[in-house]
Amino acid sequence: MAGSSVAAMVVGTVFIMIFGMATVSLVDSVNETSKNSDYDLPDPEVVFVVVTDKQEATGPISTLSWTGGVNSGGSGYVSGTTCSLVSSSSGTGATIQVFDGDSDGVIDGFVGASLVPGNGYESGEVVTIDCGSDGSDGTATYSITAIEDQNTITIQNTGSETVQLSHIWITISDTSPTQQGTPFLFIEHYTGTNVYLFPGEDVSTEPFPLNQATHGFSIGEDPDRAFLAIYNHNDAVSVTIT
Amino acid sequence: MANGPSEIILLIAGLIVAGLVSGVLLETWGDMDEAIRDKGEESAADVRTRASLVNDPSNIAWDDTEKTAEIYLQNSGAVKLDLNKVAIFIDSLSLTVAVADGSTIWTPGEVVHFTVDDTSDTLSFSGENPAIMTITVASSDVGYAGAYTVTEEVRIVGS
Repeated sequence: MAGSSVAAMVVGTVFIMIFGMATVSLVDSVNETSKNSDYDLPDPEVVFVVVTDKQEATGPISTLSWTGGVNSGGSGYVSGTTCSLVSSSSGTGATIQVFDGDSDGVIDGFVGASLVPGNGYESGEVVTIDCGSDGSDGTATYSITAIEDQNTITIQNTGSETVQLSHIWITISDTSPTQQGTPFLFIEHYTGTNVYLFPGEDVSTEPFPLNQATHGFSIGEDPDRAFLAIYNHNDAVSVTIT
Repeated sequence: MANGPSEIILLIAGLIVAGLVSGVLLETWGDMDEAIRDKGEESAADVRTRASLVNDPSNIAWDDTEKTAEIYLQNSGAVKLDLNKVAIFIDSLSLTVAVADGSTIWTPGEVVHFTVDDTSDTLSFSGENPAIMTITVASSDVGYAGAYTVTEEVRIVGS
């Protein structure tokens, strides 16, 4: 009797151990499942502070004109040549295709549609027409009579999570008439050194002109709504157009 | 030792029954354990799979001639998404979805541009129209692929 009782106790103990281990494994699995379900995805909250569309101190060229005695047609220019507009201040990137109707080497005008507006030019500034080494004397000048408006976007992190700036997308659109813009990254127009936007912090883009390819609107248009998307968070604001 | 053969038989019979019952119970517990683990891995994959609409929902352009729209989606989850497993429905109609920006990989945070096409020519929008857009994505994980579906009210502007 004693021997069989001992045997039964040993076997019982083994069973208890096996069941115990199985129970622990089961509880571990339940805990792991529960932990997985509790996983939190990023929940950023970024809002617009303001979006403006206005004329800045400098900008892309809108219109060029002769202004009587101030400007010169130069000499040695070849009609149809694409030439740079050299700024006396910070402007860069503007070009025109010069027009010389009587082929006397003196610029008579430029092909209107050929104006590439560049950026950084001042209204009223006199720009020199530089056609490189085509034989022109590089003395012809034009006056900038107007510069284009530019947009500036200021956003703020109102949440409690740090946000990566490269995850913030903006869409500018027009409500009248309704026209959808093309989403673009905030950092495409941000030149600061911040990679992240910390809670409570706000940052602004540099003033930027609209571009059909990037924003879905051409430089002269005035879309009036801005929409921000980052993960599942959105914000929208009316553009302040002045 | 035991008081006669009947006690030994009873003991052996008891051990056999206990062993059989234990085997069945352990197997059942093992199955439960595996099922719970599987469910956990599925939940983990699902909860990390998410996408969100980047377009302004108040203004989604619709080309009523070509029956197409341009949709931008952000991978707002924590895993890569499968570009070939994106489904978009407008007013419950399944649309043909194509990657429009050449993306081949869709990592967390990235936005991919899709063109959706109503090849059945069923939808027709002119002017402003409220609509329901449903987006379904799946992760590109090997094994358990997470899935996520989001439904948004949007305003489709036909032209």
